[in-house]
Amino acid sequence: MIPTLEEMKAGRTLAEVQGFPAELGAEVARIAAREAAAGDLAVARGILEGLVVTNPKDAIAWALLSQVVRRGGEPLLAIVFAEAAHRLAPDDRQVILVRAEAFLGVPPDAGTGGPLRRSIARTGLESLQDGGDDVARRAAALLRAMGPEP
Amino acid sequence: MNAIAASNFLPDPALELLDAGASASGLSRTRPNFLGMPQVESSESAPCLPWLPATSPPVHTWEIQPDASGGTADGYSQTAGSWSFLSDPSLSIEDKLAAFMATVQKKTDDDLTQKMNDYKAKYAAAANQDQGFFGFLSSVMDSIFPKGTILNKALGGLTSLIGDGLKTLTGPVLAGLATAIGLPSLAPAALKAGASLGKAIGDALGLGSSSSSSSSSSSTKSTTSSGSKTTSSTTTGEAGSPDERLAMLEIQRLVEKQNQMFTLVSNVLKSINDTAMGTINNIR
Repeated sequence: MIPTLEEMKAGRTLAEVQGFPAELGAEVARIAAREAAAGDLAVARGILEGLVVTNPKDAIAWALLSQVVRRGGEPLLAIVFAEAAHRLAPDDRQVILVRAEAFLGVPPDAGTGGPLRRSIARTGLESLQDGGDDVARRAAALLRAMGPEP
Repeated sequence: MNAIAASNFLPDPALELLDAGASASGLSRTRPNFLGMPQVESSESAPCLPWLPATSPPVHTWEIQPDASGGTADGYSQTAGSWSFLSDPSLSIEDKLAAFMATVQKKTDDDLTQKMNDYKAKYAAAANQDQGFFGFLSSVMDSIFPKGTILNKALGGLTSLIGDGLKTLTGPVLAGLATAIGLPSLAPAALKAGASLGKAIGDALGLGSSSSSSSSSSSTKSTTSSGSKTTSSTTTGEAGSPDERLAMLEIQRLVEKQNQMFTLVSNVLKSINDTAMGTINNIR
């Protein structure tokens, strides 16, 4: 069973039409993360693309996909996916971190917006510093690596 | 191969951070433990997953402050509004008729503009969706990186490269992207565009139409074809459809109504003038 075009226009997802539960989505994401950690980026990307097709509203799936394509050497596509995740969950700390990493993943001399990209990433990372969790520590480490604001 | 590749990525701090962040933010993600041990986190549901039970997100209460919004008169009786001239004793009947004509004209103008905007949104937008991949790409790029914003400037000179990257995606992924960025209406166009693009790429590579489409995604074809069949009879945005003709008739009706109003007021004014002139002539 697939959503009709009218259902798609209304934002209804394949997961909702097929009764695809959250636990299954989480398990698929877990498998993809494991494949990515093992270095099988193509497999991980395929799984995650399937997941975002099934539920395009899963911000974590988009964030994971952003990480995978960034590691696969497509930093610009990583920004697009990170922005999609950020649209869905603008307050999610992980998504903010992934988005900042995506912006930092583009070489500074690519295009004309290098300083702006760093500025966007810095703003996101600075919002993550408080919290005491691993995300905060990662953000703090990235900020230290970026150095003081020029 | 995996072992060699894994040495490049293990330990993966970013993914470990995902795990830690998930538990810290109350997400019910189940993430892999990279030591091979299953690691299941039981926590509240994730707010970003629409398929989860709607029990998780904390309700943020706030108090309405009517004065802060500035208020609006929409929906209330406007005794001192545009129709107040009717109860103004200082105005003559001619003045009131003129004001009546102007007010009704404004109302019909607004209605007409609204109808034309509705028509544009329904049928012109439907026509735009047929522009193919490049129209879709432009819409997506404008939505993700709106012109004039810092995001757009941050990617100055790179947008064409991003477009090239998007072209490598399959139709369903593009459709998912459109949904994710809040443009689900573009999802069907993305499906079609992705499928046609995949076919074009396959043809260019000499793979043939069947292999090219199946290599990208077989589900794309099935989704598109069956979806088109389903909606071809129900869609309301097709140019030349009965609904479009009805919308045009509605616009035509409003224009005729405007003409009738002008004729009516003109006749009333003429009869008032004739009455006055008759009285004056009788006095002479």
